[in-house]
Amino acid sequence: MNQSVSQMLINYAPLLVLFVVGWFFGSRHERQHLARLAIAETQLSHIIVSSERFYQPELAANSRGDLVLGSVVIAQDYFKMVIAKVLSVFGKNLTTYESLLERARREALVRLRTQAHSQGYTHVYGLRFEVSNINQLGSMVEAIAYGTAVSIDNTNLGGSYPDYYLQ
Amino acid sequence: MAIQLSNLEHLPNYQITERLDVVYGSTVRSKHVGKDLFAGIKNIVGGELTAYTELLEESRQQAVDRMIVKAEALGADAVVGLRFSTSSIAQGAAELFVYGTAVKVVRLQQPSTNQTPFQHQPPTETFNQSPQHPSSQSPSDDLPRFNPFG
Repeated sequence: MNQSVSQMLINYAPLLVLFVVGWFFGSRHERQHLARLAIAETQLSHIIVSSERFYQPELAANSRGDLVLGSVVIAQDYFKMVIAKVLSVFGKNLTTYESLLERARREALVRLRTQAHSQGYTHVYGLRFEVSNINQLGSMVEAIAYGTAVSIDNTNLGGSYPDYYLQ
Repeated sequence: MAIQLSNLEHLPNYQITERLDVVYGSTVRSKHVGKDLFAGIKNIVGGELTAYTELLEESRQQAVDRMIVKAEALGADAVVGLRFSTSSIAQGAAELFVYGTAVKVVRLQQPSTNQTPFQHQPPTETFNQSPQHPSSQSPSDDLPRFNPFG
C-alpha cells in the first residue's frame, strides 16, 4: 500500500511540479501584466476610441485617416489550464479563460492606442476586436484590435452622421 | 500616392468617386520549430509569446502588402471597409486574410456638417458602374430603412 502511494507520487511528480510552477509564475505574470495595463491605459486615455463606423467627425484640415493595429499572443499557464478542465467538468464559467481573454484584448487595445499616439492621432473610429486561438487546446490566444485613426480639430467637435443613419 | 487604408465605410477627409472591386490578400504561415519549443515552455508559466506576436504581425503585414499590390493594379487610391480574419488551417499553421474595397478618391475641400460625402455621389457611380438596378426606380414607396450604401 505504502509502496503504491510512493509509486503514484513518482509518476505524477512532474505534473505536480508543473502545476505548482504554473501557479506561482502564472499568477505573478498576471499580476504584473494587469499592473502594466492599468498604467498604460491611464497614460493613453487621451486617445479616444470608438467602435462606430458611420460617424463622420470634423477632421483637422488636410489630415488623413490611417489604419492602426495592435496585436498580441498570450499563453495560459498550466495551473489555469487544469483548473479550467475541472471547471468544465461541472459546467461552470471558465473564469480562468475569462481573465486570459480580457488581458489579451486590453493589451491589443493598448498597443493600438500606442500606435495611434506615436503617429500623432487623437481619435480612433471603427474599432474591431478579433480573437483566434493558436493551438487546438486554446491555451494560446491571439487578440487583435484595429481601427482607423484620425486627427480631430479640437475647436469644432461637432461631427455628423450620414442622413441615412438617422432615418 | 501610397494606397490609404481605412476600416470605416468612408475615407476620412476624402470623397469616394468610384468603387472598383473587392481586393484581398492572404498568407499561410507555420511556426518555427525552435520557437514552438520555447512556446511550449512558455505555455507552462503563462505570459506573452513575443516571438509569435512578431511572427503574426509580420505575416499580417505581408497579407496587407499583397492586397495593396492588387489594389494598385486596379488603379485604386485607397482601400476602405478593411477587415482582418484569421483561421487555423492545420495543426501549427494559420491563414491570415485581409480584404477590403478598392476605391478611387478625391480630397474633400470643405467638410461640412449637413452635406456629407455620401450624398454627393451621382447615382451612376454605383458599384462597378452597373446599370440602374430596379429598386432605384421607385424609391418613394419604399419605407425608410437603414441602407449603409446610400
